[in-house]
Amino acid sequence: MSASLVTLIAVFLVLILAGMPIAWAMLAASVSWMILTGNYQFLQVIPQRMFEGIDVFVLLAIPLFVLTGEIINAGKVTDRLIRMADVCFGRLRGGLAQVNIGTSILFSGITGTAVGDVAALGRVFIPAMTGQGFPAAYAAAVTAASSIVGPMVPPSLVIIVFGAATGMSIGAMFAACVIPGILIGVMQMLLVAARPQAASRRRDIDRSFPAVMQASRAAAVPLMIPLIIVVCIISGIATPTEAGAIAAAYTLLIALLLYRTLRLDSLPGIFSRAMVFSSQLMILVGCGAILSWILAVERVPDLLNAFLVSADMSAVTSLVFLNVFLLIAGMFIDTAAAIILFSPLLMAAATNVGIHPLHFSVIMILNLNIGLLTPPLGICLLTAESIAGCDLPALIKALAPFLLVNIIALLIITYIPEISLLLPRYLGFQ
Amino acid sequence: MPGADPGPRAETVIEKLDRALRVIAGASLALVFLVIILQVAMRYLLQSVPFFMEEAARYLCTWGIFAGVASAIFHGTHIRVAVLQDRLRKAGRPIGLLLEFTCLCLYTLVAVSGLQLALFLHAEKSIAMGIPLSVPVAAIPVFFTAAAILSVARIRNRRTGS
Repeated sequence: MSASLVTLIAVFLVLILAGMPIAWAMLAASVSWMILTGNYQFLQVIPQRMFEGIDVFVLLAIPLFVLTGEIINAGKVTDRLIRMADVCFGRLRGGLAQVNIGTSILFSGITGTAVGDVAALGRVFIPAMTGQGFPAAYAAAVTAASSIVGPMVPPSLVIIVFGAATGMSIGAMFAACVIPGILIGVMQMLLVAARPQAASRRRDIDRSFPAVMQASRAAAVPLMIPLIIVVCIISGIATPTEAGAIAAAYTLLIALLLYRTLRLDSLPGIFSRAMVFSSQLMILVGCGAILSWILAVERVPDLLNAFLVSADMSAVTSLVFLNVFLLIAGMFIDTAAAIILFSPLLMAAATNVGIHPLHFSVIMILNLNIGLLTPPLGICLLTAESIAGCDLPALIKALAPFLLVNIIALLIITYIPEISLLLPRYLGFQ
Repeated sequence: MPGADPGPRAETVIEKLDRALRVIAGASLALVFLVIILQVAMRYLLQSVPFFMEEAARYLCTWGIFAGVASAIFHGTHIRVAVLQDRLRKAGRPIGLLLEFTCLCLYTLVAVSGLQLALFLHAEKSIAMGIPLSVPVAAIPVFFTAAAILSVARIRNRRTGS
């Protein structure tokens, strides 16, 4: 590894730890590499790579998915889904903690990103759970842990970014992530039921047939949103970008005309918030494109392949190596940025040792999401801490069993590829 | 004018700039949304989609994204790991200021190199719409210049503690 590459990595990590936004840390590291290697003419490449990284049709799905999430939140459609989750899961051991996880499964990825889900659901569930006597740290731990279900189940922005970075079919990736996502959610629910806080079972919920029917009817229309996206993409009716627009149009219609919870004059704010939020993800893609170009110039993919070949690793050993690498990377780097940087490199290496690309994509996305929960720098962990206002050590202690369960789920998903490949194969993806 | 306090007026200009960026971002997303919906509708209703629609949506989105990037810079909402600065509290302020200056240099660099790229591409036309390629690429110098201006405002706010 060249000295300039080591400097690039060091500059990147130091700036991230110092608190520079991740996109600008990538940009600064790239500039430092260009200066160190004396290739000042490469400074011209910066806007070109940034523009080409963003100017990709499939990435237009990101602002449209975020727009759908914004309309759902502004139109108070989320309330209906939470009520539905309350009826379905509220009577289980763990009460509201189960509802918290259940909402993540039922309407996974309200914002499409794990940290967005912590921010959106945390503001609803953390005060509600503490109000019912759950310790704040435990409420924050459940919210943070369940947030990683969102990016695993469609609609998921990280899957879109992964598809754009590797050229893989987004429909196939959606299908591959569904069962692993549900598995993690169910394992977390079992953990909640087994914990001492399980005494907090809710008995105030009306579970009579009419009440269940009423909650189901109220949630049926919004529950169609993820279904519309998945069906449109998998059946080939629409591209991911078009599916995003169709979902946004559907949500807009139900919030404006059916529920009448949204006013026309609130639309400019909704569109503007959605685009500003999306731009924070998209610029990661743009700046990541510059850094990945440098990694290609430095022949990092060849180095990685040579390492795996020289180490003579089997698929099983390579998976251990990849899991450890991705877990560590996920602790420091945002999921979208890590996908842009590492997915093309690691995908080629994984395919060379016989790992199925879809299986690898599920492992990578899950790994990086677990990294978001891992101390000391996990973004979901820190977001949940700030919403709950609890001590970080207490939160880490409460989160530890969830991390363990997530890692067990990761190992199951890693070593039983059929969990990821069953649905895509059934749907005809190879 | 000597003795005049330029503070409040400068603040208003900065706020107006931020509002303009958010309007551009929102409007571009609204147009992208309409173009894509129209594209789907035309494909299924008329069995034909004009060639330029996908390109138009992409370029509109690019303008909106860079406008959003500049606004997010002003509000300090770009994704970052703030744990060290938060833990250091007052002691972390010089680090924060140093990072802001570094970012300002980066925005200026991108604005200048983006302008050079836009000028270089001016003679080339886009495939579908036939517009000069400098039009979509101009989003980079335009909004990174705005980002640099907003970044100066942030640095001034940090220094004055406002």
